[in-house]
Amino acid sequence: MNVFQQLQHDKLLHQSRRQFLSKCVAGVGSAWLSSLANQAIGAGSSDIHSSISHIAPKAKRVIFLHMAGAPSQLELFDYKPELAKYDGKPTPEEYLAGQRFAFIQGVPKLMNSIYPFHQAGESGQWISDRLPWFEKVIDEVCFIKSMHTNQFNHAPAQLLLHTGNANLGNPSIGSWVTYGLGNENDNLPGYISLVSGGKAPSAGKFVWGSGFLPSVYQGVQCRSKGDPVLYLSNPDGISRDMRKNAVDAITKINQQAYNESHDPETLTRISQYEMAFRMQIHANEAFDLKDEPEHIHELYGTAPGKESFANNCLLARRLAERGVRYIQLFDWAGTHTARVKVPLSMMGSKISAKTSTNQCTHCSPTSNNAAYWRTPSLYGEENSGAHQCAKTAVVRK
Amino acid sequence: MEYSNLHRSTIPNCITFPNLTILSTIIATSLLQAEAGSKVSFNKDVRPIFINKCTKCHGGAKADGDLSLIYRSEVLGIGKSGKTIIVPGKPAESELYRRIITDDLDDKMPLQQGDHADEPLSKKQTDTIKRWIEQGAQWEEHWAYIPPAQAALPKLSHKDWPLLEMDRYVLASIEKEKLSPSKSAGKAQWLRRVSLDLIGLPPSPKELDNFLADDSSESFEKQVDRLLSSPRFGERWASIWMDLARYADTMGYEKDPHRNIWPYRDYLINSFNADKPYNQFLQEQLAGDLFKNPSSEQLIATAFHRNTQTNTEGGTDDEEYRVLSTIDRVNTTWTAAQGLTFGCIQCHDHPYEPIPHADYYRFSAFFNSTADVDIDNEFPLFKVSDNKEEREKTVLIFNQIRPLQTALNQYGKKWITADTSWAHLNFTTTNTTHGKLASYPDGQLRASGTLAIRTRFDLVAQPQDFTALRVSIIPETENPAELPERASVLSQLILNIVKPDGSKQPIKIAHVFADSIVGPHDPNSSINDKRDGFGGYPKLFNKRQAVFVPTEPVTLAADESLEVTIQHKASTTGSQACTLRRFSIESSQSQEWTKIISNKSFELSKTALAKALQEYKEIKGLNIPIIQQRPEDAHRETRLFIGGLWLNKGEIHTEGVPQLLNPAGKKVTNRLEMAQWISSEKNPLTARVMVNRLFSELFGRGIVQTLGDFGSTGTKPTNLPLLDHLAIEFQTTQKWSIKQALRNMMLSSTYRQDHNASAELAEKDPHNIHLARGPRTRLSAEMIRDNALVTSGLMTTSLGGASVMPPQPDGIWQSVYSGAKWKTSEGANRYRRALYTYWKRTSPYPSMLTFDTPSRDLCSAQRITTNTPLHALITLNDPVFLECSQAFAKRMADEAGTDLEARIKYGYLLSTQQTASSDTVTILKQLHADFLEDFIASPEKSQKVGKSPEDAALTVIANTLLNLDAAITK
Repeated sequence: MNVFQQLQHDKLLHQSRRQFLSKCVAGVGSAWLSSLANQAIGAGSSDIHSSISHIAPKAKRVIFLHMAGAPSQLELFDYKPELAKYDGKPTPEEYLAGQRFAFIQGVPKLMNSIYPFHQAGESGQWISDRLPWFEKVIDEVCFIKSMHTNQFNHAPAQLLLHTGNANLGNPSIGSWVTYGLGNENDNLPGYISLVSGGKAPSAGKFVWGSGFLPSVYQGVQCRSKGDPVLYLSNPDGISRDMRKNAVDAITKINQQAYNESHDPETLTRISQYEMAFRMQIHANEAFDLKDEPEHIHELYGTAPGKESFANNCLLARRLAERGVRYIQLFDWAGTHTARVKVPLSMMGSKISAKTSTNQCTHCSPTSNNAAYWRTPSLYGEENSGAHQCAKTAVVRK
Repeated sequence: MEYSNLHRSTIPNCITFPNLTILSTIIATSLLQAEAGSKVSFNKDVRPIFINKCTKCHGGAKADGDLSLIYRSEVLGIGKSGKTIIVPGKPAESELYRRIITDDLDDKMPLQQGDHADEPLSKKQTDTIKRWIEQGAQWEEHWAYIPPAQAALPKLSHKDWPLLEMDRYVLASIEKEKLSPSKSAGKAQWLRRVSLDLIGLPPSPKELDNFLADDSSESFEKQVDRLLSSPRFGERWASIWMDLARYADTMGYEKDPHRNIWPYRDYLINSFNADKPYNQFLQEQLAGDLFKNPSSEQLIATAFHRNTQTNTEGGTDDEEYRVLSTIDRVNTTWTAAQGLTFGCIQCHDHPYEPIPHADYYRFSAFFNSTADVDIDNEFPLFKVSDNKEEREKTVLIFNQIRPLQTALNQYGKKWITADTSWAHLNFTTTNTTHGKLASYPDGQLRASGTLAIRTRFDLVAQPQDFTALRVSIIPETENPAELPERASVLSQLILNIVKPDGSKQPIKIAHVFADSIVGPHDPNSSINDKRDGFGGYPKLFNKRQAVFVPTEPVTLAADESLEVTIQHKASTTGSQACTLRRFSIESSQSQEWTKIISNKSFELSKTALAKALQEYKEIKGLNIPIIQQRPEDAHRETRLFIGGLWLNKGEIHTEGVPQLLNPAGKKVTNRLEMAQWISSEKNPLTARVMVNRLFSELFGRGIVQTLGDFGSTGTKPTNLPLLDHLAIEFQTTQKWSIKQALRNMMLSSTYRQDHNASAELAEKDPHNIHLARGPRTRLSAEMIRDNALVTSGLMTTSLGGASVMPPQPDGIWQSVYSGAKWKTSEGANRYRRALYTYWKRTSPYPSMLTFDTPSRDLCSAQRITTNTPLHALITLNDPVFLECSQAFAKRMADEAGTDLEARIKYGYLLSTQQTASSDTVTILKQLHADFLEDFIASPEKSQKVGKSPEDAALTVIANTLLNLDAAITK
């Protein structure tokens, strides 16, 4: 176990259930804790949770765009002039020595970027001609080009990307963020994932799983179609007022149970029922795109009621505005063949709009948009591409 | 969530965290300070200082200056500087002490500058160490590594309270805290608790009435015995073991395809119901296949370790995932049975326990020679006959097949190398349909370039008489640490004599003998036109040799030639070709080969094998993955992974268990012996870990709270004498009987206490650590569903069988490259208990996940109960719970007469087994009145909830009852 794990481990050990509760999915435990904790469960030890924030965090929210099967960064923003020299030539031996490439036999040939690159913006960032819209906001973007992976299969690679480990069992980065920073919104989960493209990630729901952290830190998968949160809607025939009436009755009876048992969990449960009731309104409101003005729909390419990546991008913004800490978008677009076949200008347009902060005053200095592209950079004789071990991230400055 | 997972270091690349001081702060709060002058305890006083301040540099993972404070021999030995680290009795001569008190900042420990700089030790800490050295520096092993011992009890004042011996240990702790035991729970409270704890279901009103009316002195015992003999008992306890076994109905990873493994779940149910002794239960799961003539049950038990994931994603390396499965088996065995974070030492020595890195690989060697190889068909499989009566017949045939194959092969095996007449064929033509193929002076043929799956080598050799041909498949690398390499399979060997006129005369091959009968393919399949064949599949671990014996000696005229065609067809995941790349073909003229195949007993063996295979084929059943051992002649060597990286191979290690837990040095050389070692009375952990788990299920928390970590960083036992007492009882008087252990705990005064606490007690002991009251805990995910089903009368009671798909919202399953669909079960299967719910690893059943069921990707030693708003949304709104509410309402109406108050009281009784207070009845009556009014006013709403406004309003009451704290708590 490394030091970080040890830290978390010890932290969990010393952290009583009380502290877990205070950071529950929607943080409602804290409501009663602040008023009742002292009487209910006695004075606790120092709040270890707060000590993790030893540096004042600048980033307050994260929007993570994961676009599986996107065009290669070699056609977008990862300029590799050296590669041109090797176009159509066998891969130099030093690149292959000691490597295991599942799909490649013999010596594959390298392939250069197809589209021309130029420098853009004040930063002079190299970018291809496929991203004309994105180019307009290029100075607001930070590129990280130092990320590497040794995983060339989808599921392990996605696990590595999101949990830091190609094997199962570890918390996703969103879980860590929510764990470390808590939740700002009492009416919505602090970590939400949205999926489009009709497929879950190859690595399944572990991509937003909480691994060894308590399950309250796992991403809550919300849906852009139907109930945004599972079981959010009352059953047909039960109105909101009726539901309120029922929750009130449950509260009153549970209060009696508490008076007898003095079980703090009972108090928490009372709060959670009230919280669930509030969540029913707030989540529905947050997920309702109908109140967005027309020009926003135009900009994002959104259509209310549809399950699309565009809708999810706009939803991510709305959730960020409401204080959701970590929003994980996952879009599935099949294969990388878009690399050569599909003109990318539209894609560029959408991403730039979605990463634009001008439209979103609330998330302006704080939200991070990150996109990762996997690189099909080695092409075999039979067009079987292996994925070279390089990744580039785009992070909003 | 379970703590133990924190240690699952399948992570070779460790994350670093900048702020080490936090760690210190945290641990500092837990330090036990020694009183001046008193005897210093190493475990209580000194070890925590080492772990807090020293072991991050001088520990197992990192031993700067070659000093690790984990090992006694190093602490009491001589350091790199040549100075003695600790001289017992003499702090001044002890280098360790000098370095912590020195004022020389360059010399001081902990370091005062650089990345590892830390606060110096406090005065109190240095004093503790000084006194410990003065008192002779007595080293103590961590408590968990010392066998349990019966502790003496202090004098107790509440003499009449204890009913059983365990109560006296509990009472000692209660009195030490100046608390008093609570009064006994009401009979209804106790029966609800005991019923949910033992069978996962609440008692029926009739069962409750019977118990309330039973005034006999044995009334409690009768109830416990009734519940222990209920078939529902096995279902409840199987679901706990399923978390440890990481049971799922799918293989995991990307496509996450279906897996047939539910007979293993039924094995668990049956084992718990039969009260199989825990030691036997463990042995069967770890090594059932190595028992003499294993029964079908024992073979099914080994599926415990086939719940590892199989990666079917195209292009994944089958060896990498086989290795990962092995690692998972090691970690799971240790977490589940031993409660130790063994996973830590995959990459390095244990940072906190005296267990060296190499111990991991010695232990993994037990699992490294199993036959499974991460291929899509999940080989090896065992057929579980559909007809229960036929299962033992199936296993009799199954147990014959491998020995028959091996015996048959034995006729020729030794001659493969003993025959001295092998001579390379002289090839005149070496053509290939893909890539290149060339003949080398050493007689080898080597293929290169891009070789497709169906690559065919067309070889022509000079005429040569022969009685047999030997094909050797040779790895490309000569460095054994680089093995295994990609698969190499000869799918079909075709021999022809080519006549001068060009016509061909086929040579019929009678039999193929191989160097080993190993892997998913029969060597004799290399003479038919199927895909499988002879070689290394899905990986080539070493040189393979097979001898192809024609039906009669072959003679060729000088103007004839021998045509050898090698057809490849096999592939691994992602359509990877498995061609030969380096091989040789030799001929023999020894008459021995012809003799062997014309031997009468050889023929009989062949017939017997064919018969067994045919009989096995005819049995109708379900093939499930099981553990099988590779034969001795195909034993895999186990190499240490340097830094835990599977491609970074170090020294070879052979089977063994950590010396720490095997001080007598008992020989443990194979998986069966390992299973026996784990489940022996000598093992200090096994019984403790299990009784602690049982205790935690009943009391809501373990005596050691971290069920999967009994090591020095796990939580300390809150009452070690109690734990040891229970462990010793379990091993001795209870003879590893889980039912006896549970029975004992449930009949104790401790368990019988009222779970309601006074405000004062709740404040003094909020988590009920000292057990001065009865346990009050939330129902588990399974119980939440089962409770709703049984209360509403919907529950299906059949036992075992294939997993089912109760309703879940559309669009939950969206796996990549998978056509699998959630098909909502119809009829009785819609209402089965939660443990039968189909478990898809990448997309588990959402409501159970929300109620803390782990995803079962890896072994999970512990669920941490959460309390979130999402729970409320499920029990209020999930259509499953609405359906239960409707049925529950109907039951209230049908069974409690027409009076509303009677219905409410009955409903409350059904859902909580308690009597509703008058306030509760008033609140619910008012709620009913409000809803009735609403439903009468809006018939369109009413119709959606119930047949009439009255039904609809009662349905709401039923749903409210299912949501009460009293209904989801036991």
